[in-house]
Amino acid sequence: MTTYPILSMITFLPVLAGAAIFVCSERVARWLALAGSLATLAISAPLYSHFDKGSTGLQFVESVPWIPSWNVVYSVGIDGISLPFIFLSTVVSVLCVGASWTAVQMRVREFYASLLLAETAMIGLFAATNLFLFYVFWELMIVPMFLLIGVWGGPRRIHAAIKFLLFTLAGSVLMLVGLITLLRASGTLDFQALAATRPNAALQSWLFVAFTAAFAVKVPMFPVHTWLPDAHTEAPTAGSVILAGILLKMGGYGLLRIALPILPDAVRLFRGPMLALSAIAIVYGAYVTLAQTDVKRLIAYSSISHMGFVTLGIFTLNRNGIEGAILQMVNHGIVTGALFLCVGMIYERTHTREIAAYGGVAKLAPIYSTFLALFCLAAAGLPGLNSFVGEFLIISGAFDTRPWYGVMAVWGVALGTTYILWLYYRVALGEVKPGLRALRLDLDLREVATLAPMAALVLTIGLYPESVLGFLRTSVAQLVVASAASAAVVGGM
Amino acid sequence: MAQAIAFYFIAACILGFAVLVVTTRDTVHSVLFLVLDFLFVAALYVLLGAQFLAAIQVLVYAGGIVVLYLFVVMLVNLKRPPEAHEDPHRRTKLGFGLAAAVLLELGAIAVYGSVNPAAPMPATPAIPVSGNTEQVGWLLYTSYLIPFEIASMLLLVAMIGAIVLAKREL
Amino acid sequence: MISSLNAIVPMLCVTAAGLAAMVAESFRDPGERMPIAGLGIVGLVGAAVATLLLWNHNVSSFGVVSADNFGLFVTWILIIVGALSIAFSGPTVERERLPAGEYYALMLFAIAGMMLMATASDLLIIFLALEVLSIAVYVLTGIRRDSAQASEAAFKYFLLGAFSSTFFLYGIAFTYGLTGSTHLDRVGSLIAAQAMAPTPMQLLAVGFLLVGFAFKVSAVPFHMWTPDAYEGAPPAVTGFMSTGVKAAAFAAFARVFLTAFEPLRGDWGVILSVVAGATMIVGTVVGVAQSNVKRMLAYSSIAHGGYLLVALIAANDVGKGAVLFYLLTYAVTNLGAFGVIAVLDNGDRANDRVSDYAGLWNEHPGLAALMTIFLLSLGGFPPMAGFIAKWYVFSAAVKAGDNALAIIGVLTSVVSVFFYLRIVVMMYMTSSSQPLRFPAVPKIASVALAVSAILIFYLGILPTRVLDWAAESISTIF
Repeated sequence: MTTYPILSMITFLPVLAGAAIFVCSERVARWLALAGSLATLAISAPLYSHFDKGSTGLQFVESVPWIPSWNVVYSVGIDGISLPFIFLSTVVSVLCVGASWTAVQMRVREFYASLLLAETAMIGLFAATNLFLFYVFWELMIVPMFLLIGVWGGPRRIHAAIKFLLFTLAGSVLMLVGLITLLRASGTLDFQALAATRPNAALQSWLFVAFTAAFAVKVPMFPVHTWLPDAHTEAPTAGSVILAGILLKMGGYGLLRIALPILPDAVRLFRGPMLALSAIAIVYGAYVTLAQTDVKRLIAYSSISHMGFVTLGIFTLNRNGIEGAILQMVNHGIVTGALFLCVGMIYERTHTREIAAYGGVAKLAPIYSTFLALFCLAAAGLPGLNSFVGEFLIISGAFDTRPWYGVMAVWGVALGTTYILWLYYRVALGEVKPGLRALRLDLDLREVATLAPMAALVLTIGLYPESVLGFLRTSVAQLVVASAASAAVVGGM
Repeated sequence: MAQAIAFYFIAACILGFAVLVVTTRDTVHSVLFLVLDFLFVAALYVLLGAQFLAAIQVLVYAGGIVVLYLFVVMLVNLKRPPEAHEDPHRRTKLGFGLAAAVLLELGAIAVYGSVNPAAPMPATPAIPVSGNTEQVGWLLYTSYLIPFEIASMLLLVAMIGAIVLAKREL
Repeated sequence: MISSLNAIVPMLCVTAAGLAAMVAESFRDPGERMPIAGLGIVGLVGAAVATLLLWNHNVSSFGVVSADNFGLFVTWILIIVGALSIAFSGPTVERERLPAGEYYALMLFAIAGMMLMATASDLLIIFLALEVLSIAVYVLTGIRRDSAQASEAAFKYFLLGAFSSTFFLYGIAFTYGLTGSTHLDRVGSLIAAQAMAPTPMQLLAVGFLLVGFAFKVSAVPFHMWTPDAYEGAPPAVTGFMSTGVKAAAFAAFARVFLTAFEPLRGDWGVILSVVAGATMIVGTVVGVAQSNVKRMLAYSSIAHGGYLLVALIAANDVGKGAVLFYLLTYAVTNLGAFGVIAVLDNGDRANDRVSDYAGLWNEHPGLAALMTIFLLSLGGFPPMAGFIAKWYVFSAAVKAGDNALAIIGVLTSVVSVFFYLRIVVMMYMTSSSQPLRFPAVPKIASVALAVSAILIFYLGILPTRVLDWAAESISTIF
């Protein structure tokens, strides 16, 4: 255990760096942003080395009274469930800074400041141990993301940004209502205290609907997913990477952090519909993906399918499923983030996202194509690469409880392999398209340095999944036991 | 009973003339109806035993207001070019000096008031005077001192406002 | 309660400054510049010092003006409102060639009236103070005499305001008829002593007073004048009246209804709940359809009036500070927003349509950032003050059992985010076809804007102290 406030440091360092950016020139801004995000990553190292994997409680806890008259506390702490997400946030932020080094030429300072503000919001969200703080960071995330899409995005960026905002706000308003109701019912907003004093079953159902609506928008689950393709397609590369890498995980994290431990009875009640929606997302998402002709849109729809696995895993409510869901979120963050980086890199050169405009890229850009192949195979769930482990766990979790959903998930994996390999075939193999020959397609050193860490993570997690699973095993076990215990109590009554 | 009948009669007249004030197209008629209205309000005061107030009502409103209307109409159209002066900043300095003096003086009064708290207000005694006029005066300068002063401030604000909005050139 | 003259010292300071401004103006040559605004600031500083000295002393003057902490808290808000408004007025007064002396004098008299209204504990004084501030604000609304729009706005405001004053006066008359007194304490104890079931007379008295206040705080259905008056007045005046008048009116509203008419809460609570719900909904929904920023903020201020009404209804043990905290937050935020509008007004063009904000970011990045802060705070985003204020109000409402109001409040505040963010979209995400239409920003105004923004973050991130002050202050009246 460390004695200094490490979580607060990594939470607020990015936003301080972001504020400092405004007083320096645009050239320095990039370096300052890089330094800020790297420093955040560096000082988060003790989190992993000093983390007690056997403990079920919160670690690195800090607690300071914030608004004493309302009993609102600034309290942060992490357990095995939040740690992977903090890791993901810090890593992805560094890569986003790298990825936008040359792509962003307009309003550089503001861009990096937004990026760093978003990083603060993400880390704060994953470190928060009470609902008030959680909500504050949740809302804080909206504005920088809105600006990232709306200011630095593609031609239809305003439409995409407003759509993103509409969906997100509609979700968070319901969360706010739920939040106030929960405060009134339980008299506290601390996650642990809330899990100990759960509201009655009827109220839980209402709260579940309110909170899950907010989370479902972020995940995004099936009927409320339509903002994602637009946002992904129009956002700048870094924005897409943050969206895929972290923002979507906020929803899954919220389900794990709030719905499961605090509202277990409602979770059991709504489990069937949630599983069904997840299965629809997997299969429907995969079919729609097959029909896409725009690279970014294709990856965006594949995200919907992949995130369907996550919610499926969560609502299996067993250890395999939930561990798989967390791992799948991390993997999806890495792989989809990396795919967006790849798309962004080639888009900078060709200025088109139409799949039809590509072909034979492997001959022109061997390094690029190697990376792309690796990430595509990872996305397809090739054994030995990271996604395989998560999907396998989720599917086995599903077969343990609801075999039919397991079958649906397998079907989704098969479709996933099809669309992702077909994508690679159309882009990298085949005849070289005439327009591409004149361009310098292959990667430079900075881009290799951006992709290499992603590739390393893909391989590390794929070959040694325990590197992630080890951290979350105890916490997930506790979560499963806790939510099952409640059901027993309710059943006995 | 007779008093009630009188009250309702007067009240009906007040309302009726008030309606006429706003519905008449001729301005002069409108003002005259206003005078009638004020007179009936004065009658209401008499009915309540407030003869002094009734007299004031007749003198100030029914008498004064009409004259004031005429004066206002004439004054607003009056126009005189400002006189030039050899030193253009003299007036500014003078003005600012005077403004500072006013501010200082009022500030001093305020400060004096706070270092030297006034003697505690005597609990409003039963009104020791009997006449109608004295009663009004007593009340105005004891219980209703503050409202009285604020009313004068209200008039000042209204006056400034009227001048600002109506005068053709400031 | 100590009796002395001291309770009116803050008002005296401001009034003195107003008189001084008049004296100075009368010696001003036409077209000459004179730092008359400085006199106003001096007066406000004096009032601030007096307010500090009076804090916690619970002084009362003449039995009708009581400088309890509640009144002093509102006085503080009014001092901030006054100082910021004066700072934003500079460019408007110069550009439009308004009569500076009269302008500032009226503004200061209005502030004095507002302070009086906030500290008055007698219905008669409240009425007189209301008239002082109203007449000053009517004139300020129409002070751009060459603008037909301004004259129309002032006239509309004046007529409806005079109408509402009559209602108010009628309410006072009924109250006097019932209790033989206009003093709030005595009215309260006499009403409490009367029969449990409210009499029709009591309901009439409450009803008329309610209508009078509802006009002043522009609650639905008495809000009709608001958009026109806000649009027609110069932006600095709009900011002033949307915050100052509201603060004073709500202070008196709270004092009258939470002290004197507290025994009848069961009756006025229901009416007020309906009014509050309608105010939030109408303000927000109609606000969405506006294309003029001032009109949009007018509807937004109607909606915020609705949130304040919720705070008033939910004023119980946990939530009673909400009214004061919300007033402070709203005052700082809304004034900031109107301050930006005021500095963008360049005389020939008001630049007050939403589409005029296109590309503001490219020309005035600082102004665009400040406007974003103000708008986000109005929309209730953390970590801005607006979030804490709304949270306070809604959680108080839920704790008081007014779930429906809380839900309407949350929903409307989300809808309102869309129209606030429309301006953000304009400023950041579109570019203008005609560059450089915005005037340079004067120093004083930019300092005032920065101060507002800092206050917003302070109240949003470290609200504890002010929250406690607000809660303690309002405990002095009930």
